[in-house]
Amino acid sequence: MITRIADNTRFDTIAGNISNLQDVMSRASDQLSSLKKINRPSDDPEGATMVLNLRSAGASIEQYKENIIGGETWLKVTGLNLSSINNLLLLAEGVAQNAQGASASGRTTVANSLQDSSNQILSFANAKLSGRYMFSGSKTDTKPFPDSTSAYEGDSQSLLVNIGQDSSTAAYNITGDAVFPASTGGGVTVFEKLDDLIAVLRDPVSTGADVYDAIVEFKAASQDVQTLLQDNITKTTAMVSNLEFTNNHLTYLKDRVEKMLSKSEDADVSKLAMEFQMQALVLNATYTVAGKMNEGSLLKFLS
Amino acid sequence: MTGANIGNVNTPGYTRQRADLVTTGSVNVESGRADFGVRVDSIERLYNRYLETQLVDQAQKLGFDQTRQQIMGRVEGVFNETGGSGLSDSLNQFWSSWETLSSNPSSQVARYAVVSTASNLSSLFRENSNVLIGVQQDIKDSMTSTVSEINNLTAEIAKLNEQILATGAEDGSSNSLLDRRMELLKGLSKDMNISYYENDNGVLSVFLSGGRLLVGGSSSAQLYVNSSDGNVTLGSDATSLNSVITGGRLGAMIAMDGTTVEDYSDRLDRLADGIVTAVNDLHTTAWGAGYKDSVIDPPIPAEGHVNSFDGSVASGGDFRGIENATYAMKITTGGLFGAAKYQISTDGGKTWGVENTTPGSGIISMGDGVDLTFTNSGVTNRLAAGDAYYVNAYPAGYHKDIGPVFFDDTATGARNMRVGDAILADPQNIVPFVSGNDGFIGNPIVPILAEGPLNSYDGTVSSGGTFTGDVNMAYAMRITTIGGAFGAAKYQISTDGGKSWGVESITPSSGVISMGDGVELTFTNSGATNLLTVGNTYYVNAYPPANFSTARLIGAAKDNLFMDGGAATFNDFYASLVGRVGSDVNSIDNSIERNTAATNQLMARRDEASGVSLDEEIINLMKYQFGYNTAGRLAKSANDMFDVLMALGR
Repeated sequence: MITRIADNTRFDTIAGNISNLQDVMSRASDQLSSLKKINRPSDDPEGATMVLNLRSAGASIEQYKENIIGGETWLKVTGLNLSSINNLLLLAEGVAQNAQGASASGRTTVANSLQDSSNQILSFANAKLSGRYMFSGSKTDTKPFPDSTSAYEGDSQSLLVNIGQDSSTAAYNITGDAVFPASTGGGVTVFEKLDDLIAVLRDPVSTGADVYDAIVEFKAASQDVQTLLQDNITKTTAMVSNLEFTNNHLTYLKDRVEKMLSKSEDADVSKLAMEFQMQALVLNATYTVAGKMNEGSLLKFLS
Repeated sequence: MTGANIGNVNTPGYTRQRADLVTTGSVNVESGRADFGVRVDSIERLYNRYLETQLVDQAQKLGFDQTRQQIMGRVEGVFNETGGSGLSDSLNQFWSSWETLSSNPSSQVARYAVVSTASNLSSLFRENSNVLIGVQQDIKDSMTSTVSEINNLTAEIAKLNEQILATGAEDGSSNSLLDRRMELLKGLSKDMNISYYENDNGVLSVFLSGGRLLVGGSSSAQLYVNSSDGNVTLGSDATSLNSVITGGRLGAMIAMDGTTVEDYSDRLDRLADGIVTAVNDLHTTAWGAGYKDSVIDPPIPAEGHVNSFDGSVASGGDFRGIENATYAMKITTGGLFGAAKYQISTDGGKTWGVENTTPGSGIISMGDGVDLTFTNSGVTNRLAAGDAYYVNAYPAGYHKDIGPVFFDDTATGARNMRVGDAILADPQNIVPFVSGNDGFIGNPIVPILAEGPLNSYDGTVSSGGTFTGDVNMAYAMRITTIGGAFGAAKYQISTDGGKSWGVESITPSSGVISMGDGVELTFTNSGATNLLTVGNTYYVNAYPPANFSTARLIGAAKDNLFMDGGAATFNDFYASLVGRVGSDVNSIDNSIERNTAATNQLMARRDEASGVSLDEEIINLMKYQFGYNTAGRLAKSANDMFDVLMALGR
């Protein structure tokens, strides 16, 4: 126990207390103004590390979600294009049917119409999304079907996006060779058969049997392609729903991460405001005491 | 004395003084002697040596912590991520920009975004690194001024020693000198860790930790600091004292400069270098799908000979070669391991090396890290002459140079991190995607001879076609029956390097044999016989195209454990660096709090003994005044008595 109080002790104690209180107040007001518990790493080193990790996780999840949305868009457009090709083939089959027993001029009309179909199908098969060919596998800058006679110029590779940590990826494309089987001659069967049919129809010496055979061959090739189209349309739908599932999961994760982040870094405002007021009260009391320091002196009493 | 005390109420280190009064001027009276007089015998310093020693020690601790706190205050600013505009966020944005580019490889905006986030990231790294370097330089500068302050203090202490010795310490005449010296000693202790000793004459000797004399009597030794390497030396001795000075402000500066800040700086450098290397590796070189898979096929028996070993045989090891190779081992002299002899071929059996005795362990090194291990689990465990084993090894993928370095790689360290010139000059130089067969290096043919017959075909053989597979493959074709010309000879195809064989077919007369997945083996009839012999075997290794999304892989690099020898991601590494800085600051703050409290307690104790209390002095003043008044009254009474006596005698 201190039995003798020197004047320095009295003044130093008050000064020290005031400075301590001001430090506490300043930290509390930092937290109040930023609404964050952690305003510098030393406020809570573990918490600061956690906050950074959570923020990185949040940014990653955000990015994965964006990737998924990009992939979904690609797949949905892919599905639409495949359906369009399917419809065009169906239409072409119907038109081709009209050529049977048609006159020479009728055959030419059908041939012209089929030529249009062929061009349209090719243009869908060569569709681009944001500047990239959709059906050429990983060779997105290569036109997959340059014309009706050439072979598929793309590859069988999948396009991938990152959808999770540990390098989890999802494929989001359908390659051209999966829907348009190659012919033995190196081209694409359905285009070749369509070309053959058009040639037969335009050839004045073609017999009805020639036309019939050509139609049958085209229809067989078209049907093959349609089966593949249906399969792949189903596949895109499945891929989209897989991506959506992942996206939902990521949304849930993001929510969790945000809650954890808020718990780790957000200040409890009502509690802080209470504390702040309490400290302000104590500080005021200390100022009052400091102001009356001299009144407790013998000198004051004597004078 | 009371006047001196009141006057010095606010003098730091002033020790309250008290006059020692003794009686004097005694006179003889009838009954004996009476003491009428008083004089000041000496002036006593009310002083507690033990407390002063503790205060000196505490000053050193506080000096150490306060300096560390000041320095860390600046360092913590570098790592303050709470605002959300620090390195961590910049890093997240950087990785995200790559993924966005990966989804939109042809987008100009995405390319510029990559360049701009990379530039931001690099400039933050440089800025932060420069702050740390600046802090280190400032520490060295402060060391210079602290050392000169120390030199002044020691010189002054030496001077005071001389004066105290001359004045003599006993009668209180050197009290103010002693107070002054104690204050200087505390100042010195605040600057560095010292030990000291006061001899009977009142002369103070000051030592460095480790016993080197700093102040001895009236002389003091000078410290020097080298402003470039921060080494502190004493006098003409060039030995660095940095390991000895571990306390006070100077100790804090040495520790901060050489250890703490250096460590942060080093970690920041490692992070920057790690990112630069990872991104550049991915951006400059595309690897085939076989990358990092040193596939080693299980052994295949030689054609025409049944392997006699009835234990198990496996291939293993870590293939270090850079090209595909087919290794072969054949037994030249039969027998048990340790007795049987063997030869190794590194070209699939075309040429054979020197004959060696098989090791008793049963592990035979094929070269380039590939081992063939025989496990003695059968009945005979014998090797027969003619036994042969093949192992196909694939290097860590074929690769292709694809783009310029993304980050400049001419200098390392965070302070030198910047986006490469080629990329800055034109963001078109970013390679977000290596499309299709660009990564395809080719399918080299490795025609090897089966053990036994000679390769009889005397035309040319080549491999070709477009490989459509997506993993590394080793194809083989062997002539099975009849032999003879194309169109007559029969063959089988293996898609696993000869381990298992497909159905037997007749060779086409064209001489073009399809191996599968678009790979073809073409025999060109340019020789004399053009005959195929049973047992002729041809191998073709094929590599898939490098379907390689640079941007996606760089984006995914954030989740790869590139740091701490495969234990942490970049973000983890940085977050733990921030945590480390935070906890360092935190522990210094706590230490300061503790030491400040201890110092205040000691100061209160010291002031209890030595501090001036005005109330006390006023009471003393009143007491002395009262004594004086009374003495005056006595004098007046005596005077009155004399007056009466004089009047009587008149």
